[in-house]
Amino acid sequence: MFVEKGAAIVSHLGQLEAAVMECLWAHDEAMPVREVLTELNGSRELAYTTVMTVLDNLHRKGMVARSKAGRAWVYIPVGSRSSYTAELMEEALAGNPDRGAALLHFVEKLPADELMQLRQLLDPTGPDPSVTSKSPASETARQL
Amino acid sequence: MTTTLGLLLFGVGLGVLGPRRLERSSWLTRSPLLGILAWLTLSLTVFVSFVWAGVTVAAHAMPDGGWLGSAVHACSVLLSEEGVWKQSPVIPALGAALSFGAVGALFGAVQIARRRERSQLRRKRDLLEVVCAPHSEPDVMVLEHHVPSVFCLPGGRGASVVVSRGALDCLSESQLQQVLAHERAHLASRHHLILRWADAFAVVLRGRLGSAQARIRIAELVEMHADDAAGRHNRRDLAEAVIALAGGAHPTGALGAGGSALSRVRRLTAPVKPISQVARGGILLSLLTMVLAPGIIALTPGLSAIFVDACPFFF
Repeated sequence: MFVEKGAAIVSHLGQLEAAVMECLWAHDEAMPVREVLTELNGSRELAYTTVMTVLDNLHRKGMVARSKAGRAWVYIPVGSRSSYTAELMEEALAGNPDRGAALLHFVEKLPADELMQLRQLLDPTGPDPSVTSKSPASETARQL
Repeated sequence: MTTTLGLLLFGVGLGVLGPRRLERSSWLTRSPLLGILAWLTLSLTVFVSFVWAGVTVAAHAMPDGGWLGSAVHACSVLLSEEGVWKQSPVIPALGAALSFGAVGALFGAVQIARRRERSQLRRKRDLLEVVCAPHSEPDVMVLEHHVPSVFCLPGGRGASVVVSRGALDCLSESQLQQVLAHERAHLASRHHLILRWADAFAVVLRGRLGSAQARIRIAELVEMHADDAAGRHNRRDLAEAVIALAGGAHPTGALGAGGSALSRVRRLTAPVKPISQVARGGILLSLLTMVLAPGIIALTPGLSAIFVDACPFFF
């Protein structure tokens, strides 16, 4: 994904974050760092401090909440995987998004009747004469 | 005084008549980039004429005493026996404050939008980092959601395209490639910056004088520009992708603003006649004239006249 060396580390940490979240989602209860480490070390060899850093990052980003259990912090996800997915999809799901310039969507969602109108434009056997009289797409491309 | 009034009239007149003229012109959709430039220039010119109007007040520019100027001057003298207009520093100061304020507000609006976008994007990136699956294309991320949706996150190195599982399911391979090319065109052309400035003009002009309309039209035109960049060879696939991705909406929620998708598909299915070089040059020249006009109006009575008038006042 990234070519630069510094970015490769960032990407690596990103993957770790995903793995840690995965681990937290798989458990119902809040987990201390040690437990997350044990869980993850089934598949790879990680340092305690690495996992602690990742959990700290996730906490800073508001992805996990933490509380003290005895002397150690325990971590629990703030939202479920599906709620995070839904948040990412919210502009698409809301239909008519209050669109900032931050996200550029490919196309907005349309009601059924407007969708029908669009299909008619594409369908060469459709009743719309302005479309049928025009050249097919391949020719369109050549003219441009 | 006539100059100030002239500038105000020019700004308002352009803000009212300009959008109508642009809505009637076909060249905007034939060359989306030129269209974007036209709408932005229109908003900029309206804005700039008001700024110049403030400057002329500040510069106390009443060198000529046309009938309009005399009339207004007479009124202002009548309203205040002191002849506030000529002697008090309040009105010129107000003019200067308005001009500086307007410019400040414009850049402030851009800055605020930039910060807001940045924090929005950071949140989206954080979320994507933990819920997204990778795709064979390195700059593409897959979101496990059944509703078809594709969008891009602009911003330097981390710029990426997000595709939902629903979108992958409903698009053919070549359609997907067209959609990705479209989104990459958004990122490469930095369309989010264009939209940010259009937003800022709409904020500063309060959506009036064509600025809200410009924002909507520019949003449509950047889509068309990305369509052109993507679908140079296979526009039909792109048109089919637009339709595929416009479906599958949530049943609730206010839908609409479908004009853009309709005109996009129409453009993708019917041949678009490119604009001749001569027409392009003509359009660019008139846009340049338009944006320079307020400055020319402001300075017409003569630079010296303004400063001769202003200097004794300030010093």
